[in-house]
Amino acid sequence: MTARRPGVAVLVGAWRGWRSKRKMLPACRAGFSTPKIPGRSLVLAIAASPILLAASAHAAAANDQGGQIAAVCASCHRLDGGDRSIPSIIGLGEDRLTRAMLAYRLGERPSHIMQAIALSLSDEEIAAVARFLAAQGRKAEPP
Amino acid sequence: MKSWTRREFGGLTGAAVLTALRPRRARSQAKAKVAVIGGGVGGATVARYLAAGTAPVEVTLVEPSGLYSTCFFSNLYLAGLRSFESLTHGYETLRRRYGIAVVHDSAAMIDPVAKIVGLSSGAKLSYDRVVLAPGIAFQDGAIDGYDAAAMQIMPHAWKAGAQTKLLRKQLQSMEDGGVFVLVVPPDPFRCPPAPYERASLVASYFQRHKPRSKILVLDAKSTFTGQDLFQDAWRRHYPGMIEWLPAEFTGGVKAVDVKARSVITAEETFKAAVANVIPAQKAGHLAQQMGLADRSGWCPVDPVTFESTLQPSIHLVGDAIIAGDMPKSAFSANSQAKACAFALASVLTGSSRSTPHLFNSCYTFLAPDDAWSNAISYKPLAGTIRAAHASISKVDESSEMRRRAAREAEGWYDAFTRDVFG
Repeated sequence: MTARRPGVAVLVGAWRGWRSKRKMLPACRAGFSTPKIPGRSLVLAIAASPILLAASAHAAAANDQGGQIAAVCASCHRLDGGDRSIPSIIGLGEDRLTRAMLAYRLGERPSHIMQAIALSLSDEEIAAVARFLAAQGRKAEPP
Repeated sequence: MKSWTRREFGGLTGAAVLTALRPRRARSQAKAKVAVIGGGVGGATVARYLAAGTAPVEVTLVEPSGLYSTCFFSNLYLAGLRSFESLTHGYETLRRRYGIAVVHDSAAMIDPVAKIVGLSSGAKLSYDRVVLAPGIAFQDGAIDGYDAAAMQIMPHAWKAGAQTKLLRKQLQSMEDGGVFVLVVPPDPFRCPPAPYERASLVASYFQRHKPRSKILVLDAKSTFTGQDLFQDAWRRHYPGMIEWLPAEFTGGVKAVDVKARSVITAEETFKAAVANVIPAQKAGHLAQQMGLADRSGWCPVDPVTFESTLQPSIHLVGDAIIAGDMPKSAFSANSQAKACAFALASVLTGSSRSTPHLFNSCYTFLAPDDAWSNAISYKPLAGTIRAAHASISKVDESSEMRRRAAREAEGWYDAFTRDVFG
């Protein structure tokens, strides 16, 4: 099963390229012609640096960050494990949540709402909220 | 050992998420007092997220009414697809689970120097920070003859409650073949797609019960939100039933004649069997009285802290504020309220502040099993709030996608109102 799906790293690489395109959107809106997309290697190098920073120095802040983003999720997803046509996101693993967010961002899973949310979050923010929600799921398991 | 019901277990999980947001340094300090004025979506969300997320804050929520009925989803009630009770929520969970002091009174004045809220009952409430969620008020005299008495004959039904029930009753007792006239105000107003959703859902009701009836939408604007989606759906679902007349065709609505039950535009007079007049809007009365609104009638705020730029130390959220690209909607109010609660927690505890995640999303019904959805994320930018990423339904998307959105909408209402009222 794993062999059939692209790995997370591949997905991240693909949408980073896409993200560079959407950064040009405000310029298009302002009536300018679409500028050329910079080379992928440059985009990857720029995009990678804040992630490394977050991983080392701001681990504690990332938990608050994850919590604040989870508050956005709570506007549509019940955080008490209940689900009525909008699935519960409590109790899912970090990896599964991350993969789902990346798939929404690429438009591989259809949902206008989830796509806009996924596009608005950086890699580190997706990682932070996935970690946070997964941890809530673990904590909430009854003894 | 106690056995866990799903509900109890769930309640704790939700609380755990909120508790994790609690600032760390705050425990040793005395409790800061935050007064939240207005128990609609914006006010209730601020109160809840402050009370649940920050232990040293004592939160008081001032709201005259003991129950709140949501304007969102009230079009489903008008079409007979939802009960009024299902739109109505109380404050008991906010009081019991989150320890919020809910005071059923109204704020008569605020003294920002002495930091006191004067209540209509004469009681006084001291605070360290105050948040206002005053909602909307109607502009006086925008339509000649449309006063408080006229609202009892031609309801606005733009604040959910008795007005919504009155409009439902009128639609129910209307004879088949009548004309329902819907007057739509100029921008900005609460919930931009809602008048057109109302036209759609009333049409679905007519189709089932009064198929010879017509709907006339008299608009103050020349285009509207989701116009292609609505007009496509009107052709598909209700051919010939809904007519939309923009301002350039009619010269705009100038007056109403309550006795004749007619709506008078610059060009023509339209006789209605039922008239729903949604007046032009401005920020709620307390905001006007406190000098928090500018000449536009709405309240300018800092886009990160939601603090008034006219009266520092007073925060505002929801329909009353100027929020840049964010529309006036319950979802926007909820999103702003969370950002405001996190910003206030930072201010009160001296912890670092992060950039708010602002979002608006909405499900809009075209027919009972046909809904469209949109979602936009926002970022504070150059003193205002700008749209960052958007995704919206398209005219040619599959009917399965639309049916799914209609089903999801029900689940969204359930989750959203739990997020707001606990």
